[in-house]
Amino acid sequence: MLPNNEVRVPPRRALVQEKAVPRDITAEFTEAASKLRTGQLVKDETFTLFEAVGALEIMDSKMDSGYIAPGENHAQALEDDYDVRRDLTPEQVVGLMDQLLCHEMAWHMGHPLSQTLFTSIYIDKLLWPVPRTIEDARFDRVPSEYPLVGLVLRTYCLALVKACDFVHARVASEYFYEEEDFVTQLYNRNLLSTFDSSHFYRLLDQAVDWVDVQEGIEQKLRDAIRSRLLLRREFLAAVDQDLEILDTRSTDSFVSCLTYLKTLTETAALGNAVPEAFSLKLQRKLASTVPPRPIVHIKQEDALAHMKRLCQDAIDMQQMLDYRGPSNFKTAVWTLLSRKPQPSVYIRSLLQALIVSDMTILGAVSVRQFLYDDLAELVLPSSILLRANTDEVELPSDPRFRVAQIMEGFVKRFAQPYVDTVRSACLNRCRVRRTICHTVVDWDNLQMEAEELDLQLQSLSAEPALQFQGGEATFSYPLSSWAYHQKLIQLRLILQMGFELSVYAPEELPGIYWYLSHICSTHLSHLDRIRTFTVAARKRDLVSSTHGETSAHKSPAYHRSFLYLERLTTHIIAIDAFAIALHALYVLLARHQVLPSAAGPDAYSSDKLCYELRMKPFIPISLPELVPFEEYQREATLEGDTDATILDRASKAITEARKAWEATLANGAFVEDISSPMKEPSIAIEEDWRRDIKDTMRACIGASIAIETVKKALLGDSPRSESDPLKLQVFIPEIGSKTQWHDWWIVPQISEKKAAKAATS
Amino acid sequence: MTQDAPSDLRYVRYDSARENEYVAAMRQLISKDLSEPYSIYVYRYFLYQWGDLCFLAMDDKDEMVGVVVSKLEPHRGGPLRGYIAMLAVREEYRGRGIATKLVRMAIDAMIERNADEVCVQRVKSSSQFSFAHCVVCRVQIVLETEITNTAAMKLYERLGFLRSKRLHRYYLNGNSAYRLVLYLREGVGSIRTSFDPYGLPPAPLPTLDQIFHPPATAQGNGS
Amino acid sequence: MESEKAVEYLNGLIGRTLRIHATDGRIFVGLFKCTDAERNIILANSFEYRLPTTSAIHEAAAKETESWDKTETKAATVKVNMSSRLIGLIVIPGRHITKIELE
Repeated sequence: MLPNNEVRVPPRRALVQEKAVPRDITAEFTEAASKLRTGQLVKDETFTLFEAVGALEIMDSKMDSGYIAPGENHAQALEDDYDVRRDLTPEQVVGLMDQLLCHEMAWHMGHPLSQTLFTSIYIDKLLWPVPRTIEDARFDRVPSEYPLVGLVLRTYCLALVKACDFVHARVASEYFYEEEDFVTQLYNRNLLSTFDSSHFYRLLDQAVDWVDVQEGIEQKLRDAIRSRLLLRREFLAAVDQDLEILDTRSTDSFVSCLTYLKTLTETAALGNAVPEAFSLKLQRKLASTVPPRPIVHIKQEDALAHMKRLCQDAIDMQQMLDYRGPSNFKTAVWTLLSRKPQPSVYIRSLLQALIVSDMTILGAVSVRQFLYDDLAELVLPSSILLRANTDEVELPSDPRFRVAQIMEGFVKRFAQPYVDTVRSACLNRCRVRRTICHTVVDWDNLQMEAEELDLQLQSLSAEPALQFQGGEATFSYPLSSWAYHQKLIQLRLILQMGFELSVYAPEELPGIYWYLSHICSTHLSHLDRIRTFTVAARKRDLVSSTHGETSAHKSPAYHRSFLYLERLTTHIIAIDAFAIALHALYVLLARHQVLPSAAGPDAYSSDKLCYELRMKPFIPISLPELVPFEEYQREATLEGDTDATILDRASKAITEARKAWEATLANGAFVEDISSPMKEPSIAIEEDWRRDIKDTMRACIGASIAIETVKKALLGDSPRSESDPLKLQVFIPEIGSKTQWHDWWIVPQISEKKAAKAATS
Repeated sequence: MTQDAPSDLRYVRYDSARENEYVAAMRQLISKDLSEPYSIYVYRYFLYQWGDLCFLAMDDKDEMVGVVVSKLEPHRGGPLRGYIAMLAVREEYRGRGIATKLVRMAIDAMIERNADEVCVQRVKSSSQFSFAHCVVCRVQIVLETEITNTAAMKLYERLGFLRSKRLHRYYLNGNSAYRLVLYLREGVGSIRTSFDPYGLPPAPLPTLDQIFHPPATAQGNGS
Repeated sequence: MESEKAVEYLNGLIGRTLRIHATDGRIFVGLFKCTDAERNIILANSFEYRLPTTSAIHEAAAKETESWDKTETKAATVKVNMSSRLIGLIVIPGRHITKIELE
């Protein structure tokens, strides 16, 4: 051991060679400490007990990673007598390769290296002492005399570590949550980052060539080893590509990985595990401020499945690299990231970088253009505001110069938060919701700022006032309208992702679905308002442009915007109607005391306190204002409505919902651009999108059935008195269970109670 | 589940005069129950400041069979927030409402001290990347065993706690967690905290500039 | 009075670098932050030092052509560095402390 310990010992301390002689103070210290009272502490004034909570207790087996149990042989506890130069059978080599792949994937899944790859004695020996050349990166100073070990297994390990290096670099440079998504800690090791990838490809080629001519190894084992080496080659090439895919648009490496993964799956049984080549003892040597933790064992099939998904996600991600307008782009990003299971942290990091790098979207569109495209799509098709340019207008007195200045200011202020709304979808699902809870407050302020700009622009562009819905004359407020739209989407997502993350108690469901429909109807009126002003602007354009030329030029922009507004409206109507139906259904269940409740009769909480807690993200929002509790309670319980009225409401709403979801599905995932037809449709992502809508439609059908069941129980043949309990059994399925068709739509499972059962209850 | 805890038990408030005896018993009880190991100073952190929010269940032989450890302090300069930090009941005494009784005693004591809200927070004794800020609020969805987990979630939810947010695979075994919160008085949701009320830690996305010029240690890992 | 002096003495050590020898032979070096009546000592930014294993000593000894026995009995005089690693903020329980040194 420690062949090069001048390297191993951090240069900062060399205990034995320390010049100053330490003074033994054991007696004084012990004497002084014994004078303290129980509970009396002597401590650094700036050091708090709160900080002390983080201290690891030495000699405690659960906390001290260097702890060696009494009776354990000291040398054995620290060192493994595993001989890394030993001969291995081909079966063992296959087994080791597969075990290492499991550890690699476990790390991808978020487990630390100390519990995964760094428990491999082979990997440990490769990385420590730090190799200076690629030839130095060996299992031992004296190379193994067996090529299967010294060439094949070593090369496999090297290429694996190098792939980890690329993954580590990508993830660490993006936004992610340490420990939640990924553990970047390297424990003072280096993942061969200084070596150029060409070394690894060369070694892989050598190893494959060697394997190919080994007549002594059974053919199927040769093939198994060969495909594992080739997988390493392709995976290394795939992650080596990184952002270059924007230029190369090559999915070849990932596609090849899928092929080899198939072979790996088929030949997995050939391997013989070598458990003694992995050791938890290695943790005792890693620079680490964590308690000792067990080796993570994941099933090989899970590891292969994870890698397969990673490759597939990477391939599918490429379908969205062509920019086809902001709404299509956002739909593609959101759909891909909503896959279950969620794409791995590597894919999410890569996608973050692809979304924005070098101030461009997808390496093609400036952030400013992206913002302008979105404004054009929603509120400003063909507007002077988006065409004004300070470069072209030189006279500062020209109103267009002022417009350009204001728009410049708008871009500066809004580009970042707007791009972040897209990028934040790359976070893990829990964080997506939490991030929106933060940013929605920012958007509330942004909307107010946009309103200021709108007022200035309004006078500069001499926009005529318009009567909206018979009210007072008003103006279009395009920028703040756009900001409000963003905010309403976020408020809706907070509620919907709450279902997905399973945060609501059953008794909250009526209220949450009511609130969801409330947000939807607010959103629908807002879209209505936008449409009214766009129609008016189009009319003005037609009248003013007698030349006809400009009008024809503007027409596609209007067309696209109207189409987009139409699609949005249909989609939100679908959500709204479904929410109304479920709200009505849950109100009936709650009213008749068959809705399960998480809170007990002696709970400390009250409806009002629960409402306040649940709606906390909505409280600071000025528009739409949080519905006051009293009003919410009246609305959410449908106070005053008879059962029959509510049933009718539920039935009508669910019929409406089914129609609207049909229409949404028919509209498709993406807006087709008539001016530039799609280059390459995002087939796989569109398929995900369609599945999502279809699942929602299945949930609609499930809800219809539930409503019918309740109707039968309430208005059945035998007349029932008010006091009779409903003979219904209600069960709220878990998220992700088979009976829950869609994460955002909690449909209760309702069945009739058997008479005998009802009697006993 | 019965609310009446067995009568052969005595419920007492922690007494600092008996620190050595009590803390030893608590450590034994809790280390058996929770996966997170706690050093002596973790107990001191809670007991020296909020010993009056710690309650013990003792059997007729004066042996400790249950314990709840909690704290109460302004949350980021905002609401006075109580935390249930540790809760353990000896295995053979479970299912008798002892935990519920202990939690109720802690909450009642917090109410007496004008708490605005209560939050369930399991202490994390050490964190990989921080020497200092190590106490993080979490309740595991899946505790060490499925059974204890559901039991714990149910216990708190029965008392009126709501899941305020979900925390992604907090535990290294991949388990996610929920933050459970109970408001005790109206207007808590509107109390302004000194910084963002939602994040732990506050988590704005990096600016575009940061993305293009990431700092050397992007995620501030230790060592 | 005596107790005051004791506190004063211990306070004087706060922030200094201590070397604490544990019952299992390891040495912990770090900044002294806190202690109590049982000598449960908290050190910050600490390093763990462990005596090299016999094989490491053997290897080093072989290099320096020193006798095996000598290295074993008087390890500290052999030019083999102890293996060390950063372990951060720690508590060393008083009952596991065999020796306290001040640097």
